[in-house]
Amino acid sequence: MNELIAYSGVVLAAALSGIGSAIGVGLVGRAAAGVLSVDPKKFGKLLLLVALPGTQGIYGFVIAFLLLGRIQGADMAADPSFVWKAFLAGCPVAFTGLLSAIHQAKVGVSGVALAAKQPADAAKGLILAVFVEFYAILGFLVSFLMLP
Amino acid sequence: MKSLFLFANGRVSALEKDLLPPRMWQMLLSARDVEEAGRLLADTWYGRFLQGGNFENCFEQAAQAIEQELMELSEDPALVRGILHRRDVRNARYIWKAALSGHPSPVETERPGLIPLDVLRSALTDSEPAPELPALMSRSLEEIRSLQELSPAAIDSVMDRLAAAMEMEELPGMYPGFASFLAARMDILNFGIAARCRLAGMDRTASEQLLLEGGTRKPAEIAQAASSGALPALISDTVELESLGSVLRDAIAEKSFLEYSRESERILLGMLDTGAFAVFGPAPLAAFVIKKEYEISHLRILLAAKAARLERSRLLRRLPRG
Repeated sequence: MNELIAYSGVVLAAALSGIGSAIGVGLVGRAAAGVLSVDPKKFGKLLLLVALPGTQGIYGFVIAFLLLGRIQGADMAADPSFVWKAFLAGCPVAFTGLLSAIHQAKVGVSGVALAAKQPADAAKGLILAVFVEFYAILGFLVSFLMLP
Repeated sequence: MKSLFLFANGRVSALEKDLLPPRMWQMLLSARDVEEAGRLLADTWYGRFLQGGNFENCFEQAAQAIEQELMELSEDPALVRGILHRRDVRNARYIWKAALSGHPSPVETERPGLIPLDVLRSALTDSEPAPELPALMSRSLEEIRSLQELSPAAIDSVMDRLAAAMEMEELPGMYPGFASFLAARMDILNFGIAARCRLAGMDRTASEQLLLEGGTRKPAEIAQAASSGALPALISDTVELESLGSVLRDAIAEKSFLEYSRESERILLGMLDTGAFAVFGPAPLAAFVIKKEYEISHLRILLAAKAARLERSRLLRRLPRG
């Protein structure tokens, strides 16, 4: 039972942030495909916007990987609080990853429209999307610092 | 899951670059003659449709291309119906009005929208409404049949209400930003009708019957303002139309609505250009189609004026461009 709770942290970190990223990349990808169907030369400008919501999944995967290593080498009998520490360590990156990826995708879709209409301002759309990334990074850092 | 129109809006964002920029409008307005305007137009998106200097064919093909985009990109049938049924209503007006006023020869129509022309022709004689005919259209046909006096003006009045009702049935639900555009357009139409009724000396009840539902101002409110001479004040107090107050005052005083039409279109184009349309949803696609419709209509006017060697200043009194 204790092990299950600890592993739940791993599952949450990897799954929720991965789901957020999949949704996010899907949203921006569809909008970008619409632009590319008219103007394939914009691929380079749109690539980063599409890829950006994918980073949350990577953060979740890194925390899950580190957490897995800690759990496998831990003596849970010696430290009963370990299982909860492990579970809670996965939560910040999981939830910030899930929500920030979806909201970043919404900014990204607007950025795609901006890049299509005003190519000179494409970087501004990217910068706005990066602001959302900041909160995913905070979630990642908190999870990292909470690793047992 | 609610349709997000992501691919469609991405594509529309890229296609919007094909809309003629203000600089091109300036150049077209400054063109010496229709040949020069045609040469300028050949370098734009319209160039692909322009063969042998046949502008009408070019605009017809351009409109078809835009409708093709609409039908392929729209994830919501209501949007396609809302846009294309407008032409069906116009065709129904031509056909029914001609038939009911005893017009002998076949009447000229536009390309069918979603209802075949034969269905519109046979609707007048069919005892049961055809399944292709929307309920609103069948109801208007019944209303026309029950008219005591079958005058062209009475038929027009029914068809005006049908056109407004068809548009307001499908399109406003799409997004609040686009709904406000449609409401503003309806208000502009109603204020124009009310002002003309006032100039024609019609009483309040008669003019209220001609006004259409769907605007931010109720027909009764507009008819009341018309009868008390307060139309310019009311339009100045209407959201998005504040600047039309003095224009409508001048139009009533000069009995000419040219400036009113131009300024109204300028406002509507501005709303389409800068309106905060959601990136998620059908509004950008609908706005794009309507912007192209305006563009084609303005190009037709411009080229007709160039062919008639109309002066630039006179052309600018009609066109909200440049």
